Amino acid sequence: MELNELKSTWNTVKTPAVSIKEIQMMLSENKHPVLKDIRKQLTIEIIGWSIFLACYYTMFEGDKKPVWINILLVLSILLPITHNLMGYRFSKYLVQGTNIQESLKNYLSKVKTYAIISILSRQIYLTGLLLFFIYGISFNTNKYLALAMIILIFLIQLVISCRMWATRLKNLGNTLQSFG
Amino acid sequence: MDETQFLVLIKEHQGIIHKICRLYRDIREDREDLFQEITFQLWKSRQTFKNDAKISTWIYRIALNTAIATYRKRKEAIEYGPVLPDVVEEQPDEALALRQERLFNALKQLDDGDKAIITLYLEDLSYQQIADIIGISENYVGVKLNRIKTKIQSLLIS
Repeated sequence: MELNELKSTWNTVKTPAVSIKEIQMMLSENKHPVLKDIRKQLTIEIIGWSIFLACYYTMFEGDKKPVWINILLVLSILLPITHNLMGYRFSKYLVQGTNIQESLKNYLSKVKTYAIISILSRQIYLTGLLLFFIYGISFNTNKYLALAMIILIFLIQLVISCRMWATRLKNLGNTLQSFG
Repeated sequence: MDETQFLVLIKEHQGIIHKICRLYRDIREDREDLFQEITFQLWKSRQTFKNDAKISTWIYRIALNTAIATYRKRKEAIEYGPVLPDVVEEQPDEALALRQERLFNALKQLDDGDKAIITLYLEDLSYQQIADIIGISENYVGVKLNRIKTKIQSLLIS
């Protein structure tokens, strides 16, 4: 195919037809594929953690542990939930500039901040939970081994999470770089 | 712009959005999700449309911005089925369908930024319009297009 054929071929491409009714449904947040998933996750998390927070004090001996460790647990649970709420708002407004380059620059800067908060909040959440449950335990060799395994799992998920965000940031950065 | 005006606008210009979705996503589910995302972002950005501007220019900007910024969830999958993919089956002319497939195969190998520039070129926008949408100089549009055309030429030959 010669280059002068590119435009003529492009112009012959037939596209599907979406009805007005279908387009109207796409304007609703409730039908949005990404926002729907975030809402579902948020609802499940909020219900689950509310039940946990209502019961943990007596079920997991929160009353026998110091106040600071109880506060740390509550905060470490609230932090990722708040972060997910931020993510919901973030996903709603992708376009943030008067041209594509400006918009992507602003977007990249926000994704970087979001990624850092995401990784930190997850680590705080896991550390909070771990500290709460290991507080007051008298350790022996087996328990130390179990703790080491848990910490190893935490570190693996941290590496995976960092890599995932790094790939996404790199892709956006490369696109911006290609614009010069 | 009220909702009725917006709906008519998208219906009239949906061809642009579909082409961008086909270029930036490999499987049908992803293309449908991107179409919905672009429509949603256009709706959310409707206040940014200035009446003195061309509506298609505004649609290109938001649509390409959304296609580049959104995260791809799925990898390309092999689709088994009794019929060919929907984008080909509607073409009565096999030679034409083949040319389109070759064109899209070549375009899909470009990076996201180059895809945006070549899309605007193929849609017959002037260098000035492309420069305004992307946010680069008119001269640089020329430089980029020459490089992209060379790249496409080699992709089509190989």
